[in-house]
Amino acid sequence: MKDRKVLKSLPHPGPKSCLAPLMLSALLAIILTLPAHGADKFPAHPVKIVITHAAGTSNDIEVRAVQPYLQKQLGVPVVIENMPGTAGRKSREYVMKEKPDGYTLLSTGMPSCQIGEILYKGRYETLKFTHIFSLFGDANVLFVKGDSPYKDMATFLEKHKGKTLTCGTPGVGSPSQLDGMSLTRHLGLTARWIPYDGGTEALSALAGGHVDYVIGNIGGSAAMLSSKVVRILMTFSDKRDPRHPEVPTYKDLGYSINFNPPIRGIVGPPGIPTGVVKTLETAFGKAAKTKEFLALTAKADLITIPRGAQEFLAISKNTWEEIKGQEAKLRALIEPKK
Amino acid sequence: MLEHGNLILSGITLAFSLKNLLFLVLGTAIGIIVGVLPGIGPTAGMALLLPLTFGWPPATALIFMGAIFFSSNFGGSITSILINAPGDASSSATLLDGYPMTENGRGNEALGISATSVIVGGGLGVLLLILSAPPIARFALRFGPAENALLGIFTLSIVASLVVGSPLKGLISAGLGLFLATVGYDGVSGNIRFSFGASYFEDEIQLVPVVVGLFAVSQVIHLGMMGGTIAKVGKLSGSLLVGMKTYFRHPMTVLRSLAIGIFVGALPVAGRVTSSFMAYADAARCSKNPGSFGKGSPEGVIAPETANNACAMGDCIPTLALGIPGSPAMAVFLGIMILHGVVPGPRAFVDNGQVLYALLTSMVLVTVVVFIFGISCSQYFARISLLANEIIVPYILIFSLLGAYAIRNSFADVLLTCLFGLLGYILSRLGYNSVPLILGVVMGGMVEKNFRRALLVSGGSYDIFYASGIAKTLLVLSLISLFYPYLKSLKRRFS
Repeated sequence: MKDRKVLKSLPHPGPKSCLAPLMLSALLAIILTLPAHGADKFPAHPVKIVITHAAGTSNDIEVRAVQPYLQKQLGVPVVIENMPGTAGRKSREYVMKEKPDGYTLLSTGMPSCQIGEILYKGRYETLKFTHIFSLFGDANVLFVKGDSPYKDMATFLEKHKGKTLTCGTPGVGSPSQLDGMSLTRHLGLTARWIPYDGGTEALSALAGGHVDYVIGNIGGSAAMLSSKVVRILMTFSDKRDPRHPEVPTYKDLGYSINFNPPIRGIVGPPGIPTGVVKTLETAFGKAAKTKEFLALTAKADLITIPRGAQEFLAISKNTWEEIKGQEAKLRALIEPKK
Repeated sequence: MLEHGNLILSGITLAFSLKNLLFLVLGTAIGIIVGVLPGIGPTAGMALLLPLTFGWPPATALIFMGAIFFSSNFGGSITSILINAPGDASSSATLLDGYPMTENGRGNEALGISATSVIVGGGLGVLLLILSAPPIARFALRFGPAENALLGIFTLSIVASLVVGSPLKGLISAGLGLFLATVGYDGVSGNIRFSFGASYFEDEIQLVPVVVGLFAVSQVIHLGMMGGTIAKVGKLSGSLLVGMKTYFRHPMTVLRSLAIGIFVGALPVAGRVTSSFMAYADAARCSKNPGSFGKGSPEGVIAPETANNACAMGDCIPTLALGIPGSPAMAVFLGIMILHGVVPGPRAFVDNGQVLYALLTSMVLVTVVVFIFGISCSQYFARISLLANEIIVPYILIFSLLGAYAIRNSFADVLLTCLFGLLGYILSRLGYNSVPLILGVVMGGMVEKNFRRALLVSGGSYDIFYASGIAKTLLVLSLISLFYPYLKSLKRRFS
């Protein structure tokens, strides 16, 4: 009833009534352009970090872990927005087109960004993103079942020779599978690739003995490793993992192949001003060194490898060129067989 | 032994500390809200609140998160029963008989059944978890790609018995769901199917727009057209106490559903949707009056609800025993445990015994809190069914569309939700049930991917589908379940 009264009290629409909305929209336009004037000091309002994957994934948990310390450094709230879909391509396409003012950032995994662009025709260009900071890295490793007869890579190779073994991967064309393909090619092995929906599913299958081995990220496997349902035979990273010092790297084993380590980092739309990038980079660097954050990562057994904008971009470029070089081979992998 | 006893005691004491109890109640309240809101499930709820817990002691953080995870079940059931709109797919089996009960004015009783099943399913679930987690987890690991595919097929075969009256319409609806499951990224070949160049469809079709659209939005259209009130009789009968009594009048249904829930929950690939539908079909088959199913049979609420709650505990079994998450929500929970320095596994109860026993004790307490909440609030909730439809319809619509948007911050998801709402309404007008469609969407991906994975593992040989004892059993069960309705009608004709 009340609504009707209000409606009646409003003036009848006529030429005069056009004025009010017009003035209102002019006011709105002025308000909207205001932050641009006050933009000499960055950040003046909340910074948004878009996550390529859903809440609760490795990428998400890592950003949420650093968020409280980052907002202390920046002095403004840091808002996290999950935009999962199309293996991260959707969120990358979105951030690519955002305003390059440093207020919209993206946290993305690195070989998957290049793979999404080159193999899956993502509508973005990895190397045009403003690279800001990379804090977390992961490593691909070769897992076998906890009670499997493969003691080390030597016995693994011995039993593998002349036989086709099944290898579970976190996904078809995933960085892990690409590493696995380089390895088997180098060692002259034949494998049957079984793609799963993510590393956890692949490792569950391994724990049940449904595949012979798995190549996947070490991140997220802590509980299964400590339960001894799976073991690691080698790592595709060039440094030994301090949590598992007994596991040899591919270099220790004398394999002359080149692997790009999977890393995750923060990028922004192309063309963020240098000063803004510097502010963000410094804030991330400082947040990564706060006592509370270090205590959290130590408790959670997370490994952080802080990399500044320059180093981050260099790794990104390297990876891009390598994947571009292998494009035809990789494409054959995912194209339907005729 | 004595040391272990001390650990258990100190864990229980820790659970009863004032701070932990406080956060348990808070977590339970948030969990119920998260369950009621369409689209936002426990997985997103836990992840969003994660940064809040960083400074907390591990026990408090895990109890808070555990409470959210476990109590969201009941939240989903409330909306399934009262307005025919489940918060997510896992409580969609409950609406099959829960909503007809509300239409008959027995919403209160149905909520009573649901609250009781929280305490029974959850409580006995914790007990089973403590007593026999490692052997159950080891057995669950024996499900490989072939067994998982067959389990999905078995669940789909239930469709025929789900839809009372017309098995054929049920199968058509499920077929539509299966087709929808093939749209988008194909995880086995890496190809994109049926996207027609639209980047939105490069993804798999998301479950939330489908579920919220088919149930909540189509229900909005239905209620809006119908007018009147949800409870057609215009008054409420029965009470929570009656619901409790009804619950315990069917002990065999409870026990069988409990077993189904625990076991299916322990499987890493199958979860609450599978277990609740299996329990429902099982109850319909063993019931003394199967004709009442789908028309508001209390047994049709007891079975899926008990299985659903037991399944939440089953999910914890491989997670706590082997560090293998039993469901996506558990994967998040596992991440939270590790962030707080509690790494699950066989040694976990030695290294972090106090925290884990405090967590398990708290899970039992959560069931009690949910139950008390249910008793004290359900009668008010149930009155929703007496409100005029033109009052409640806008609220359902707003919350549904908000939920559809919130899950991925995507407006396209909202549009899809509306489209599915329209589809759901048309289907129900034509006499098709939307539930088999949901089952098709959920199971389609699981069956297809595992079927093809199994063939990849075996190198193309179909022998893998009857190689193991589990596979053979599932094959036989599927065949029986698929032809059961026809056999029954044949038997009736000849006797």
